[in-house]
Amino acid sequence: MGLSRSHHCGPPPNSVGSPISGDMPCNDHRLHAGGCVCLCTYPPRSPRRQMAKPGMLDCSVVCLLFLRVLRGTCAGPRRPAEPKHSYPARAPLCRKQPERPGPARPGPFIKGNRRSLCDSVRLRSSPFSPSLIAIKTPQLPRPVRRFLPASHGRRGGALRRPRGATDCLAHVFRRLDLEDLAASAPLVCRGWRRAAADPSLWRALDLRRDHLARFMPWSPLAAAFALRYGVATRFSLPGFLRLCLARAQGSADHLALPPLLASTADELQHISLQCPRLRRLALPALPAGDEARLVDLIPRWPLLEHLELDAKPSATFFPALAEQLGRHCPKFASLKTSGAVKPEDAAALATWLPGLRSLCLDRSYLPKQELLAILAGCRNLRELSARCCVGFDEGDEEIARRGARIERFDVAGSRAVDELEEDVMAGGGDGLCDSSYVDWARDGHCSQSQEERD
Amino acid sequence: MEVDKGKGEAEETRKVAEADRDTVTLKSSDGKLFEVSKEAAARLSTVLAGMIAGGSIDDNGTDLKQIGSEALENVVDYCNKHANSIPSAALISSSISFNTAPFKEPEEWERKFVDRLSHDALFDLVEAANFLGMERLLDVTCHKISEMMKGKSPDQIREVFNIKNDYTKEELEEIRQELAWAFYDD
Repeated sequence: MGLSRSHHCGPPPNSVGSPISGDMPCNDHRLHAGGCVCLCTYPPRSPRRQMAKPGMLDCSVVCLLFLRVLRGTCAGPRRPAEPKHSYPARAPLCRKQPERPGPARPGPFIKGNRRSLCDSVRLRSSPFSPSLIAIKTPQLPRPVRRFLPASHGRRGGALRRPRGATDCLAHVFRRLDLEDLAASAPLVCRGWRRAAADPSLWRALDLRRDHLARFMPWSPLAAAFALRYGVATRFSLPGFLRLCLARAQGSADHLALPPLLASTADELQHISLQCPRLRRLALPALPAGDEARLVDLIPRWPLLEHLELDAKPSATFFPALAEQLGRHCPKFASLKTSGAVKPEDAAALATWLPGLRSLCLDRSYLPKQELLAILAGCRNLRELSARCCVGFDEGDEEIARRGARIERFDVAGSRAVDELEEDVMAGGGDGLCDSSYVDWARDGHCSQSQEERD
Repeated sequence: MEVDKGKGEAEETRKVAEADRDTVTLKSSDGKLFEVSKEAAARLSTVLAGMIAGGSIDDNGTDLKQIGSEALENVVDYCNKHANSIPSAALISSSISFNTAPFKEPEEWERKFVDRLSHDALFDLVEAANFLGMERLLDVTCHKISEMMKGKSPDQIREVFNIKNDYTKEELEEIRQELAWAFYDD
């Protein structure tokens, strides 16, 4: 038998005519009337808490030895418990009975202990516990059993809230636009308000799609907010963003911001605090100061997988950004941006983000050397899009050869810089390239493929 | 002897037929039976797929106690129609992509399918789809319901879905005040 069997006070279940009668505590208690804490304790506590009182260990060892000698059947404690919940003849401990007795307490145990030891004390000390009050009735185990289903029922009842209906409503709400979810649904009735407050509905916050029609002060949403929430003319996109983030309660994982925010710094700060679980982030063009800020905030989004920056941070900040992403975002796999790619940018990509699976540099100034460096550095790319770029030719054989291993490799519409533009480049540098070449490519030559993409 | 032989043959043919059976029989809460092709059921419903794979399909009708006959009829109807339509290539191809649009617009026949349903039937169908784990049907039906709500005021929504306004004046005022913080703290 050994230590595998746990010991209960009172007669062991199978032993008919055991020397220990139900009216008495176990033998050990007679021995340690002053306070045996080890063998007849229930429910067993975690060893960690037990170890807090080292004195108990001696007692348990004594009891264990005693039991081994006395009975072959009941071989001792598996887990000695802390004295707080023990039932032996320690009056001061008994007085502190747990209010809800453990549901799985075995019958013989209750019978043996309660009557003989702590009856009166317990009744006085915890008058609210039904099972304990019931001890005075003749049949002992029954009230305990009656108590069990009742408590289970209550617990089950909590789970059986009007779940079916709310579940289906949640499915519908999940397909509802944020505007309707914010401005209409909560006002319909109480049930809808509860359902619409579910944080999981606010996880994907795409404030970019159709943002001009949806979030400008003259939009239906602003009118609805003015009418129903009394915000009059104060409706603003940052306010709506704050609202959405508050509703998401930290669960937002997809966020896309439109280029309308007056002060991106505040919003970035807010987002970094409110969205620790962010996986996909799309940001508008940032002022230089905010680019530096963004670099500092990256560690706050350890789950980040996809980053979309309408304008590539300048070569001052981009390498630092790539480094932060490589260091702090182990799942980072996809980057989309557009701007002038310098040799140091390409080197940073190859150094810090070699595991990148998807890269989009459409409408960038991307010299051939830089593209080749990226292709050589990021060996895990499965998708590379460099459409309508300036700096290499779409038909370039070397690039096509290097890109052949990538599943989706698209460089349509890209072309090398011609003589005149090269002159301008030589004198221009970063700023000129950003404004003239990229805009030129963005506006004029790529409208067709832009439409395709959208 | 001959009778026995005939019996044995019949038994055999029955067994063969069972092995070849490519439909499952579903039983609604009110005891009506419906047949649907095994392939379509397994493809469209994760729950039925699990049951078929686990061998817990009952030949005399798998009990679906949570689903009424009308909703189950619609489910079966949807499965049959879906089996006939060929999914477009765009639906099959899966790839990492820059834009996240997990929901594909309902196809023409799906639109027609949900348009002819009454509100009650539609809600029952949502519950049935939810219960059976039919993601696409859930998409289509919920999309239809969300379209009914789109851009409507709370009053209009209550009218469309016949919902009683159980708010008190105080509660409405509370809700009215609730969001001001987001717009006034600057």
